[in-house]
Amino acid sequence: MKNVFAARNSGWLFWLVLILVSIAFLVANESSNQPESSINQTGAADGQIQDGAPPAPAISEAPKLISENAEPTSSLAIPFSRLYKTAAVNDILVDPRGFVWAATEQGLASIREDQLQTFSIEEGSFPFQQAECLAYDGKDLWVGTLTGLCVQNDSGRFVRSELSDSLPSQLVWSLIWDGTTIWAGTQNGAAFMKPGSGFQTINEANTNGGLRNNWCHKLARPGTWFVAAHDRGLSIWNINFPASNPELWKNIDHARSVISRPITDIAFDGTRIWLATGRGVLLLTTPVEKFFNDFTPNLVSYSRIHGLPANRVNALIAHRNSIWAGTDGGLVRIREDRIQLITASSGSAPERVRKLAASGDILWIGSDRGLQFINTAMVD
Amino acid sequence: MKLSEFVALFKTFFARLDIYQLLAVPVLLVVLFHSIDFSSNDMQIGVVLPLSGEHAHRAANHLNGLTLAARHINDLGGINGRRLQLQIRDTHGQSEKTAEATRDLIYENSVFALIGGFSPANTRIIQALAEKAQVPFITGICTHYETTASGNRFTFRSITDDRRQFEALVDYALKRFNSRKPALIYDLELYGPDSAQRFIEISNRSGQQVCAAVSYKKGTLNFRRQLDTIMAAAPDLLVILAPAADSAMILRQFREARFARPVIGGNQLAAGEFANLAGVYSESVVTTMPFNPRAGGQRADYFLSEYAETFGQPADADAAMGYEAMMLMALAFKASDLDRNSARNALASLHGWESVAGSGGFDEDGNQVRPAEIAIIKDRQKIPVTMEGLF
Repeated sequence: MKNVFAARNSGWLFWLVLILVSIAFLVANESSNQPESSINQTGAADGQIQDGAPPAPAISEAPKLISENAEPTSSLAIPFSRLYKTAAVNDILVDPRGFVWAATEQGLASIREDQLQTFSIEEGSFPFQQAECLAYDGKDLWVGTLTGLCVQNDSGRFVRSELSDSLPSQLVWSLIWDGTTIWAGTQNGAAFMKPGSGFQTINEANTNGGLRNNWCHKLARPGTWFVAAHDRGLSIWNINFPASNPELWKNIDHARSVISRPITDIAFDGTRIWLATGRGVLLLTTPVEKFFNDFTPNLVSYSRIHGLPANRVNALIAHRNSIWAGTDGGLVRIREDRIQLITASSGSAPERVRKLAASGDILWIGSDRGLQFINTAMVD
Repeated sequence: MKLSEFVALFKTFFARLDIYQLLAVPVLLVVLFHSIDFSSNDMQIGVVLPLSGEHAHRAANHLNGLTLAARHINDLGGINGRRLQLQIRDTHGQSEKTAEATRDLIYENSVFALIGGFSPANTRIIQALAEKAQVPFITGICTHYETTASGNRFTFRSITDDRRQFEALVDYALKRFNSRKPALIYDLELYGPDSAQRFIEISNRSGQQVCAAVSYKKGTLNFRRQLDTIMAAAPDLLVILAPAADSAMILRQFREARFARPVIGGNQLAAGEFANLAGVYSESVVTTMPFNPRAGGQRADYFLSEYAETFGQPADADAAMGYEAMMLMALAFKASDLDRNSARNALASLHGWESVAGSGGFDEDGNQVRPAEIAIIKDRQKIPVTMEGLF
């Protein structure tokens, strides 16, 4: 009896030690995992050279090579929404229901009624490690990844599509829906698919060199034209004619033009094609309607010396009679040859914009850190 | 204390605990088991190189340099206590295999950084994936000028690029040979028309007029057509921008057709393979020299002897560039918080260093600032032109 009382008297100490040890180990384990799981969500200093960072041994200062006139023509401050924190954004899509989808480096994210939901392989809600591009064909949401194509099934789950096997490569870099057909740009050629059928491949071989390179990392579908940005430049094909005739393809090679690699995005303003590149924005001056008879690859360049905040342009979209460009130095609007830097009057503007998407007046901005939006009506 | 006393004390201690407390002990062990991270604490570095195929020999030498550097770093305790482990992938020189290997290293192996590349096209694939996933990437073997000229943030190059090499070659051709009318032959894989165009622009700026610029396709064995075109233009100098083996074949065919003018070329001509295949025709060929052991001083001497001891062959420029790239990565990691963004920032801060290849540094684009050194081949050895008089 005495032993039992003694045990009860010292028992609380035992339990306390047990709980403390368990908590200590759990905390230690969580903190050691933290940096890897939040690589892309580490706040404002993400990827920036910190002023106060200790220099590596034997470092000498490099001169800053910033042009004196490297200032935007003008800037405009408007409110930016709060940041919906996600991993680095690769693509954004707003579906007809108003749901915002983001393909990110850690899977998929969606915003419904201001609520952010993530889908990832860790949570078991997405089949792949990352998502690269998105397309909505009026019925299904398609997600291109670097490991295959997946689709949202009737129960709302994301599963690998059986059609993925008919793609020329499982590395899917770009997806677009033109109203009747889904187009995919992959590592080993482009492909197109009418609903209910498999993908048909377009590559260097079956176009007899019309498509100059198979790594189709960006696609666009202005009018009756199919535009593929690849490692050798730009290949353009009128889809009303056989792809196998190389004479019917228009090509602009990096080597023989001012287009620098990589072409990171393509936008169509209803008349002409705009290109985002590592060295600024390029406008192909020939209107798309004249491509067939009068194709001259003349380009107008917009870069830092013209007022862009950074040469690296990652995203481009035609919206409300303007071209919006997401750069490594922020968001800009190009209108009538004027470049306007969009800054934040409230909230914080993302520095490195990776993708843009528009829905009504709302312009969604995907960055290294997540999603934000602005109301473009306020800019006008 | 006797054993019996110890057992008695043990029994007394457990007699004081009730059954629930005793059951808690295995629960604690289970909690501890799941809390401890038993996975490797090694720092994974992805290496993506064409270890089979046409460029296998040079890629293997580069890998040897990387491996030796990693071994030296690990022998000294690793990076802040973490050992470097190389995850090596062979691209077979193919685009899709390069993309798949890089993708798997980033997303499945969660590598901390990437090293490699070779041809500009495959290097751009690694770069595109690295930039997207925000993984630091160093190439010590791809010299294409555009690699670090597109506003990329996570890409760094530790070998002197083609632009600097072309400037040095043009300058030397002017001063030494008073060349005013060079001709150019280039391949479509390692250099391509964009590099040829860049060479022509640099030549034009220096007052030269390139009289002929001809390309050839991969696999060409007979360069008669190119030879005829160039001979017809009567150049005063021939510039070869092509892989080492092709360059040797081109040189042989030109010399056998009695082309007697000087021949110069980029760092491909500095590979041992070129002098071996070209034989006596390599005599007096002018090339750029990515690795001059004399510039590296004692570091280079130590590296050369260690390399020869380990691999049983002398180190070449590709091996030295591999060694330097890995050492730079280690230097940056040491100054970082051991996450990818922090490592990228540390690499971007490396504006000056001393390595086996001498002084170097990254400019604001992550490109090597080291000037190209010119060498002349004598008895199949590369002699820096600054020391030519001694031989």
